Amino acid sequence: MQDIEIKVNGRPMRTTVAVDETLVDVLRQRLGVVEVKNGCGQGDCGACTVLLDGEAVNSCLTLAVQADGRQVTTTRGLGTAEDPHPLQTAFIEHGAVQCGFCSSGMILSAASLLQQNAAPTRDEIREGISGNLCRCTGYTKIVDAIDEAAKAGSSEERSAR
Amino acid sequence: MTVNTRVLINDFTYHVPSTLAEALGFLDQYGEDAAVLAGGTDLIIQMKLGRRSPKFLVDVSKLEELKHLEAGEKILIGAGRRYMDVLPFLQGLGRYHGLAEAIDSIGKLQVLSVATVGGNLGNGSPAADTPPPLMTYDASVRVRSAHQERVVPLREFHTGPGAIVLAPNEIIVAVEFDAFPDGRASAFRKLTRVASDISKVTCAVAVERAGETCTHCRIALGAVGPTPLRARSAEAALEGREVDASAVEECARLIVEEISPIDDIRCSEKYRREAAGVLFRDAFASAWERAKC
Repeated sequence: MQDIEIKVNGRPMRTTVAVDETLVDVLRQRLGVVEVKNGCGQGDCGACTVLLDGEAVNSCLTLAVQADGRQVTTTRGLGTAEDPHPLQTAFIEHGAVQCGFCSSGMILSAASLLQQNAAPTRDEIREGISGNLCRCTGYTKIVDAIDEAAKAGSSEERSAR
Repeated sequence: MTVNTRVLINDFTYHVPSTLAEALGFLDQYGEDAAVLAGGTDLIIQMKLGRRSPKFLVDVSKLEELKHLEAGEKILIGAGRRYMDVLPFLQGLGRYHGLAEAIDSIGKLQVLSVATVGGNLGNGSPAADTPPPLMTYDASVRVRSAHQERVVPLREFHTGPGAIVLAPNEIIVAVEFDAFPDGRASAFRKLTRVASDISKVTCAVAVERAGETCTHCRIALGAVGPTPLRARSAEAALEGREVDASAVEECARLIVEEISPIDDIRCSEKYRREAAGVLFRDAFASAWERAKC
């Protein structure tokens, strides 16, 4: 067993883990961070996506010990019900959430994409979320939502200048 | 028995060496019981599926010695460099389109953020994305053990599906190739069902031209044989020849004959043969056009 400390959405959390525990299991089962979903468990579906030091990773393929001393951001870290992130608002407004299982990972991948490319084309959006599967929406509304959040983000940037 | 991909089924000891020497010491000590962990996008899945059960994991992601990126007479890419670092490096150099397109074709952010070129080679998959373009660059793999360093030509590196020439105590340090002479250009094409899927067929081409004559030609394909492979008869048919539609068709026909694809869940052997010819024509056209400038 090994003691680790992970900063989850800015809050330091300490726990003791076995080396064969994956990050998604430790987040969900030991730290109560249940907005991160465990889907396929083999890096195909992207439901378990978190930002590790700001970069999208599959937490089902990450050992918890590999996250020791690092920052984990989940969708709760992006925004809350009271103060949502533009992506979260756009997902709600566009009906891009149906069953909701993929939404957390999808929004984090979108956030990571927009960080690297603030004005993606629709094709680039599709490519950016290609590691996240959605079995409800057919993706159209998700792409619409990300497209709008990107445009809102860039106009916000413009008005801030 | 149903496989539960949510848990790692075997017990192992986890090491995070801070120097390459320390990592090589572990590999020397543990031999076949050890596995090298880089991005984990192949290894962790294989462990969950029970295909590999190492007793020791040696995490090399912290090793600075594996993170060189150099562009001089040789282009050298450290084995521990992540795709998301290698892609802008190549795009900045502006002339190694084939390898850049292979990495860019992965698309999936969760892979780009952790997966490495060293891991892609070390995993030994015949369908891996980076070996075909690297083979068209006549790349070599720099390999180290606690006792020696050796340089293995990439064309001798893969020995079968999931099998490579590395001894259990060796680690991939870097992949390297000669900088392109002026006028050489490359391209890569890949066929998958959906963007994030494992490839059905890949094809990479590197060429040089003097007017309409092809003066240098390398063609490599993935997922059409037990290892990534060079299409040598097709290369020979083009090199030194004037390139016209019939030369390209002849070359595509030779490739379709030379490869040895199989039927699997992704597609049939027949489909792969057809598709290999199509991908070659596309990749060749793109590289040939680039070589003009």
